[in-house]
Amino acid sequence: MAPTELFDRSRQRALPLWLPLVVAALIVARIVSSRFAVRSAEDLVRWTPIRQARAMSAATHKPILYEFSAEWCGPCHELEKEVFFDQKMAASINDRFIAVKVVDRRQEEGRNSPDVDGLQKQFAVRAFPTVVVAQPDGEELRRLTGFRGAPQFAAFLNGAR
Amino acid sequence: MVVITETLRRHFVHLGYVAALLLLIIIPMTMGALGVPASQDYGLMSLFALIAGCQLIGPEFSSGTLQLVLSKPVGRSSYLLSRFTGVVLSIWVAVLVVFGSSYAGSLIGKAPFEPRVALSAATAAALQILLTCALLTLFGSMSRSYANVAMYIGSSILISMIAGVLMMVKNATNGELAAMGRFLREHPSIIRAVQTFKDNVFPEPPQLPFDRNWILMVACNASIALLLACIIFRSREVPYGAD
Repeated sequence: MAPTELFDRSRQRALPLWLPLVVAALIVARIVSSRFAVRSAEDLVRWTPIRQARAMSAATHKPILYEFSAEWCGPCHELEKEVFFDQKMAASINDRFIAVKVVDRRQEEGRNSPDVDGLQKQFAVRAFPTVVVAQPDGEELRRLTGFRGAPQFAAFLNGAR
Repeated sequence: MVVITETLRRHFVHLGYVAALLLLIIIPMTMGALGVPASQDYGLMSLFALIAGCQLIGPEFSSGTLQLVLSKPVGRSSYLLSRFTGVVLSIWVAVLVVFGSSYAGSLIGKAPFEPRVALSAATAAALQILLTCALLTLFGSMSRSYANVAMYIGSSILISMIAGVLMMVKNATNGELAAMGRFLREHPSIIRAVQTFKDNVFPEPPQLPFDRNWILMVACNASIALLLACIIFRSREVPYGAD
């Protein structure tokens, strides 16, 4: 009678080689990834180009939300981080408004584009950030100057329906 | 592969699973029709994961099934990982069902549906399920019966309580806790460490859709839990017979 082939019990308890390698690879990937910033906040709010905003607003019956800001403006970046970076608030803006970012470039380039200048004059923007909610025909519904925290901004958005 | 398909079969023919799937069709469909954001649809999935994942390894010690399985030429780690994979896949089917129901509901109710937000919520739910099941597997590898669920829920409550109490004590300026409060304020790394542990083991859904760092964190922690489970399980003696 041929000898029965016995199962090696020590192999039964062996760890699969690929598992510690996968763990090590994920740990390395996590460490490397944490050194690079996650994508910018602009990806969360769907910003519409200035020239398309009125047409889109009229087509979707959503008011336009103009965010007047500048690169050098600290509170503008806080607004971005706390509001536009926030998934819930950005989703709320995307749902209810046509969002337009109007960035002042006078300090960097010496002048603004005619579209930016025109909007700043139309809504008499004198400080940054200024957020204006308006109808497609330009009628101003509501405005907020400065940034005093996400809850205040949320209240502003809720009042601007 | 056999273990994975057998695990899936066991779930798909179970009356409880079918009933839960029906519930997971009706509720997200209703919410989708009412225009509720898709991120709210996955609240029940953590409970679903606990119920489906509670049978990972622990109860098999008590029932004698494990002793029977391991008498065959089956690798311990292969068996553990296959059972884990089967349970996770069965719950991921439910995640797909929720996603589809939410979309169908939004079509029926003519409510807005943001595919990117919905997909990111589904991905986050799927990864949280992965981590939950990995932790249940880890706890199951060192316990019996359904103690893994008790360990999971107990540790979740305990870490939340510890974090909350530390925050409260940190703000104490009068009374007996003032000294401890001062100590915590001077050493913020203590609270930060507890919070980091809580965020890693019991993570909240990410703020950003498809947050790369969050995805890697959850995948990494799940794999570490599985590796620890395999290490514990390989050296654990399987008792003869059932409890």
